[in-house]
Amino acid sequence: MKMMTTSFCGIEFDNPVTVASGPGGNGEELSEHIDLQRLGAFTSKTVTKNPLDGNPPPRIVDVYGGIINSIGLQNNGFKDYKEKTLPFLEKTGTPIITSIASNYLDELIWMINGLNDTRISIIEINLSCPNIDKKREMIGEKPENIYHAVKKIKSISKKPVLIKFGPDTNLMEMIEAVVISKADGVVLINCPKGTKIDINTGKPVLKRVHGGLAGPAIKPIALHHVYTVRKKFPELNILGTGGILNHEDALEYLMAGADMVGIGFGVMMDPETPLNVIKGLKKYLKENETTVEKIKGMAQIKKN
Amino acid sequence: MTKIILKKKKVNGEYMIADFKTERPLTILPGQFLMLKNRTEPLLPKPFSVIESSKDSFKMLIRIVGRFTNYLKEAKAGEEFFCRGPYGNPFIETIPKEKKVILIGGGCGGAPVIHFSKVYKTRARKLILGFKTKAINKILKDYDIIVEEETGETVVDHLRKYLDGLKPEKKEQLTIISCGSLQMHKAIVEKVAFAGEIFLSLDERMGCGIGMCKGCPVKTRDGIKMVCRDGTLFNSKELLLEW
Repeated sequence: MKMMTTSFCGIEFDNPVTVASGPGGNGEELSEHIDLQRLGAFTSKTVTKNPLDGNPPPRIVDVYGGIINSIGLQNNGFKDYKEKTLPFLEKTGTPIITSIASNYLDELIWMINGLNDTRISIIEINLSCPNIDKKREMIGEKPENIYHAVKKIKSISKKPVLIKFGPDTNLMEMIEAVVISKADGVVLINCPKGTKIDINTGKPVLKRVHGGLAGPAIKPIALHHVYTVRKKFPELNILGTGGILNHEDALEYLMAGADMVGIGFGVMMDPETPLNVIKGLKKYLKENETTVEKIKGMAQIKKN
Repeated sequence: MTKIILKKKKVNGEYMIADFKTERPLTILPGQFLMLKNRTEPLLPKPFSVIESSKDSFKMLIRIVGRFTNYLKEAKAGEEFFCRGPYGNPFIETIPKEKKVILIGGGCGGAPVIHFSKVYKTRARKLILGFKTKAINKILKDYDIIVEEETGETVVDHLRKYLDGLKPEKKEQLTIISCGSLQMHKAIVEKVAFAGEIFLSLDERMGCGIGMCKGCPVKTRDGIKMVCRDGTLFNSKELLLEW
């Protein structure tokens, strides 16, 4: 086993660092700044069945420890993703995690069928999307609905499937549901909701009032969930994301039990962050004569 | 990120000029911006355009409004900052090649148009700068500035008067670059009789500065574009200024 490799969803990745879905876009702009092939994987920006314009500006609001973002899943739709983004990403040679979102099972299945014959490594699924059709039944947050949806998804997907969760109150129940329905893993955590008020106008800064809190402010929350989920489900694949800016942050995630780490806000702050994290991790492992596989979950306190 | 050192600064009221020395040479063309940050909070770099640049230094005209600019206001000469860029398309690449330019700057939007007037002396036909408060007079001494609180006049009023004094055949050879608030852009597009092309440099809260995070959108006739990567200068005919 090489020092930096990580086994994740039955695949061996060269290193445990991926760009998280969103801030890195679809890789084209980022590839002008860093060599994507040096990443463990690249997670593309969440795509939906149909194109979405996204939310009105402002979309980014500064807060202590990070930002609140309200992008609204702006994307060109799945057809464009398959025709333009995937060929580009495949050419870079980096393993691809494709992130898809919908509130509806039929749309997810349609996209997964479209990904089955591609060279992507893993599918990340975001079960909540801003585009809501009130006439149709949403998968929502009920563990039972999630169980049935994921079971169906697993029966048709030829790729490993990750389900992405925010820090919701019934997170453990939802994770139990995806474990029973045999999802390959989870992404912890999606941005918790955040709000900012402009005291000069007395109004929320964001037109949609609430956005996703990103950055180091959420790292302890994300680590809590990674640690807790790892403790309960020793075999589940976990991609940990939230506020990773340097290799020390990444080490905390791995030690808490993540198999892989995703960098989102960090890449927005500085496109070179993921490569700096990889460099720092390598140096740490070498100095401590250890490997990624050995440190994974080492912070878990075992009861005798 | 490139390390930069604050050489000196001049603060008056809500405005400041900051001079930075860069660790490595940077070529910054008028209209481009740099993403600046300090060592700690706020974490996300902030975009600023420059008013003057040379190989290893640049100057910025800054309005003190938020956390980072307040930090900058208190910073001492010699303090280290960091920057990424330059990003954004140089103004010269967006405007028609043959035409002379009327440059309009509202508030600190004056920075890139002043930069343009210095670099492309023969292209700049007229520079109109307007600020809300007279605090600017101690910061920008070498320019005629319209101070709204003194004269009640805005840059848009001034532009209208200037255009009224021109012969129609002269107007045809001109184009406008406007850099300032959305309100000012709208007033220019809607209330100024000018048949030629008007280019607007947009200001939006940015995330990455390189187009990937989709944080700084603008609606255009050709779909959603990003201010940082596709602009910051756009032909006003392309833009839908309402969301």
